[in-house]
Amino acid sequence: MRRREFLKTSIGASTLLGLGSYGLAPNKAAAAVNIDYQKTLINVMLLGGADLRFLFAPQPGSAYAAKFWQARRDIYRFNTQNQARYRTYADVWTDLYLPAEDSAGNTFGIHKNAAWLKQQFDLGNVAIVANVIGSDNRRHDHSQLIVNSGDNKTSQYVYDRDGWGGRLAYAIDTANTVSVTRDISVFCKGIDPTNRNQRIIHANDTRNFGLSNGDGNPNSKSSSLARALRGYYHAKRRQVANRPAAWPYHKFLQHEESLRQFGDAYNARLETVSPLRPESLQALFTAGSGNRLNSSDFGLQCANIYDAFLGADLFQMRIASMEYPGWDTHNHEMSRFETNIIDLFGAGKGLDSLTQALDPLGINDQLLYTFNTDFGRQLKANGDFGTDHGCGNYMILLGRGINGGVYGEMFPASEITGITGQTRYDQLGADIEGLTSFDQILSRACDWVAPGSGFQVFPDADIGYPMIEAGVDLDTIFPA
Amino acid sequence: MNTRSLIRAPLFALSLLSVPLPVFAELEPVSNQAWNLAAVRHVLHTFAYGGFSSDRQIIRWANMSPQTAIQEMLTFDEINPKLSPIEDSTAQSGPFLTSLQEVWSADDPANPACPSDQLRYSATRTRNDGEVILSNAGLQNTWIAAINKRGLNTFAHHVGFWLVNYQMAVNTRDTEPSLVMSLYDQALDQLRRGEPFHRILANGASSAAVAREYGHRNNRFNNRNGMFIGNDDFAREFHQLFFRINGDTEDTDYHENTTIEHTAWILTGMQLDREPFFNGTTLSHYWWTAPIDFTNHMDASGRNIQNNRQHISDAPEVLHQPITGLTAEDKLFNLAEVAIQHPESLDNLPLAFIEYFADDNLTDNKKDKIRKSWQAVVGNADDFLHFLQAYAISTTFHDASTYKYRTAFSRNLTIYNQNTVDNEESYGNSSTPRNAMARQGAVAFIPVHDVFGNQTSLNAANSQSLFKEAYNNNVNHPNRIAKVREVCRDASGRIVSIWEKDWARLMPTNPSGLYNVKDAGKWLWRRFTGDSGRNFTVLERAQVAALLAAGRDFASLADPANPDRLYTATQLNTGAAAALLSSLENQTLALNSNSMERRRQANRRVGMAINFITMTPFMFANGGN
Repeated sequence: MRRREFLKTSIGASTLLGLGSYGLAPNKAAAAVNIDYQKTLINVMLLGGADLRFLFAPQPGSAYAAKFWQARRDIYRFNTQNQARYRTYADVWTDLYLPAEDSAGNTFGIHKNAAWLKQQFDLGNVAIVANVIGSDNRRHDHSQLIVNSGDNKTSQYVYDRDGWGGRLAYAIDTANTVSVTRDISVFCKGIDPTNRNQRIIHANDTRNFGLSNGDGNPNSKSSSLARALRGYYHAKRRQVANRPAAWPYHKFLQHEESLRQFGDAYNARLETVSPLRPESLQALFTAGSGNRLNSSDFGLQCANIYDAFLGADLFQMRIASMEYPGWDTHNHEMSRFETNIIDLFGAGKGLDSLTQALDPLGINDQLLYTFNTDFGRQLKANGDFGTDHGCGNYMILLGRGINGGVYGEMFPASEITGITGQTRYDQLGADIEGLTSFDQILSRACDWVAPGSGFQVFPDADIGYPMIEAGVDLDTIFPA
Repeated sequence: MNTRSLIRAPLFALSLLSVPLPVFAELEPVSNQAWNLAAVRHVLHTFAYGGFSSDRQIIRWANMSPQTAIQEMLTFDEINPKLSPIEDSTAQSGPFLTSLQEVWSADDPANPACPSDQLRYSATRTRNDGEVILSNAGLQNTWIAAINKRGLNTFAHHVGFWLVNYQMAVNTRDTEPSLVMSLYDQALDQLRRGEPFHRILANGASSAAVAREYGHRNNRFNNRNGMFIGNDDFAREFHQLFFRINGDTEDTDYHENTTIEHTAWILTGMQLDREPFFNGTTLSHYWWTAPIDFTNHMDASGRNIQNNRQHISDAPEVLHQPITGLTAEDKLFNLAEVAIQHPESLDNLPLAFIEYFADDNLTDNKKDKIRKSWQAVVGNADDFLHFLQAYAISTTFHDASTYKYRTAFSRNLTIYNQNTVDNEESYGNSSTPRNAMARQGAVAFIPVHDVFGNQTSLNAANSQSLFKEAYNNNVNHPNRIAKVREVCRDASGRIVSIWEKDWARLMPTNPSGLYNVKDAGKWLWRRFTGDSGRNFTVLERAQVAALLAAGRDFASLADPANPDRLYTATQLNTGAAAALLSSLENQTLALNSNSMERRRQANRRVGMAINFITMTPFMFANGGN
């Protein structure tokens, strides 16, 4: 067994490596859950267009690093303090980046606020695919629609459509998508145009799930209303069953039915196996906990994911949807990006805490995270200490069941090729050139979750000339 | 209220003649026969959070031709007494949020707001550490209260809200509430003055709120070396969000590197002034003021502002036109003239209007008519008003295929308005839907989708979570809607006023002067849902009658030993259940009883029925029948 394989099947990474992590309280109750977990995909959408070229940086000492620094130093030197602190790129590298090594021995940096991601990369649990393109326009709304639908030909402004998570649920047949976000993303929506929510469980507040049955006093106003509404909705569904499928009011009858169906059973499950959330997850969104995330909403999402796994059999959960906003870093990219990335990938923070909490459930070996974002950003810093919209980017996949590593040229030599002042880094508006289409990666991710589903979810990926960077074998990310 | 639009607008208003509804040519009005009570209510619910028109006024409008009625119903006038009758001095304090906030937060005996509520409207708040900062809640509460006041134009305030929260999508997380309020009030002022829509957008693009939010207040152009320093964030959104120009019909390179890049150059010289201790705030973060002064000058804090020097002096090409002007403001107004006529804007903008207000089911045929009607008025005075008026009485809007899901804003504010009997209640009842809306993902002036705007109707409709929150709000807290009394006290505990719910002021009686349960149920149904009554079937009637007559659910009355029994429509139409329903519907509500306790009980039961009605599917969408 390789060291990586040994480590990745061992206990939580932070615990193992002794890095700072929030204390995980024992969760004996949850250990009582006996669910036959199946492979599950969690898509994390980074809203706004994350500049992952800030997360991953070249090692100093190369021609590429020199150009990188020349073009992007303003991002780091946004005030006098940082101008003094970061006189050279080596200063930045030493202070901000953790050296990582790909399989060919090339060193690159992962931002120190993503220490857990770095640990997972070292364990072989992270695949970084370089030069990926989803949307070829630079508009947030249309690009998000493309990335969430998994269809780069989708029309703009058409939000009532299916998403790739929803299609995967249908491809699996018996699966649902659990959304832990405030709004349900297009990613989750299903293929039935009369009911896009058919295979969605909206679990953005798992400890307040389901419909009220009143206050327990049968004579109270609350209980009277609860009975009136329960009886009414039950009868109303039968009364309007023959209305056209497109009748707009069906949707609310469906909500009531779905919440009624899952609510009581799920609440009973939580009450039995985990009446209280694990402290480590509660802390992520609780003021004064000492470990509240910068985005307490993302902390709550992490806690909701944990809770959803406690009822994964009830929910038939095989896909989940999370999101983190705030990546549109036109200005002051460094402080904004660092604030965000530590929530996601910091040691003892969001996903690390979630992973540790999930370990006793035995689900982690079956989990795959995909991280998507609107688009990449331009190579060169703008005049406001940030970067403007671009297209190409990196894609991150995380899971113990994949072959981690770097897929594609991390820092393409073509970006610095050319006569002085005319390289790609010098061109107005230039970005990372997209060489691998996002659907090629995600269709394989779907296949990992449910063999044979990839081309159902991404039919356009099944073409004779797939768009994959030369020399990259995406199949090796996902071992059979 | 700043003076810029007041200076520009009168000149403009004189320069154009108002064109009376030329859009009728493209959007066929409904017939006089189809223009009925239900149609009038449908318009009020769609565009004005239900409005405050009396039943008599609604009948008058239904009896007019739609073309005449709509010009009374939907106006941007400061006051519209037929839509929102004047009851007290509130109308004199409006229409602007700035002045309303000032009045409602003042420690003044003339302030109609209860002393214990005055703080909620305040422009500032004091943090735990003693620092005085600007208050988001003050802006939100003032807006919600404005929507709920008779004498203020609910339609105009709905449009103002849409402009700031959706079309311009300004966010008080990224910019100060005082700047947002200033932008809102300017938009309201431009609307009432009949300024064409593109000038409202241009004013927004030139505003301090937007410059602060997107950060282009720091953009500058060095006219000596031709170097631009800044970001292109709003340069893109000026076209994409404000005018819906995505560059689909343009060469990509031209769109990215000429149109957007040069718009970024135009957005230079837009530094905001700072006024130390603005509004009494103690932290400098809150000292930004509006409007932007585009000259070179020294601001009140002693900063040397070089807005003219740092603005590009040339006329950069954008959308294939050189854009002239001495300042960013001049150029943005000139660019807006070009942008509003761009084919993509002409195609996309009118659809965005209608998708927000009225229709989640636009077909190609409808889209075609909507686009043509916009093209018939765009650029003229009152273009947006005439467009909406014509649409609101069109066969396109009143078509059976047209439906609109309600956002949590629309649903909760319509309930709030229709549940408020008069301004005495609006001031005297401290319960507002602000917290319920927040739990349902709707927070005013903090758009949940950032630059893409606040909660959409599709987001709301698809959210099981929102449905659950709404359901549990009514079931677990029925008194939020069914509240019947509140005592207002001053800081010393002295009673200032007592508000009592009084549905008798609005609800019609039968010829005998009684409040019949059946009639009351039907009246409440129409009032809250805006539905014609066709969806008030025996299932709805049974529960509403039971709650009105007895304050309890139907099943517990039919068989107290078996309150969980479910009744189908067939069962309710026959036998003992039908007899019970008939008996309940024949009872009367004691709304005009001499007994105070009986009146309160009757009002409470009305509230219970409203709790039920507003949790049926017909309160979550409009139309589609």
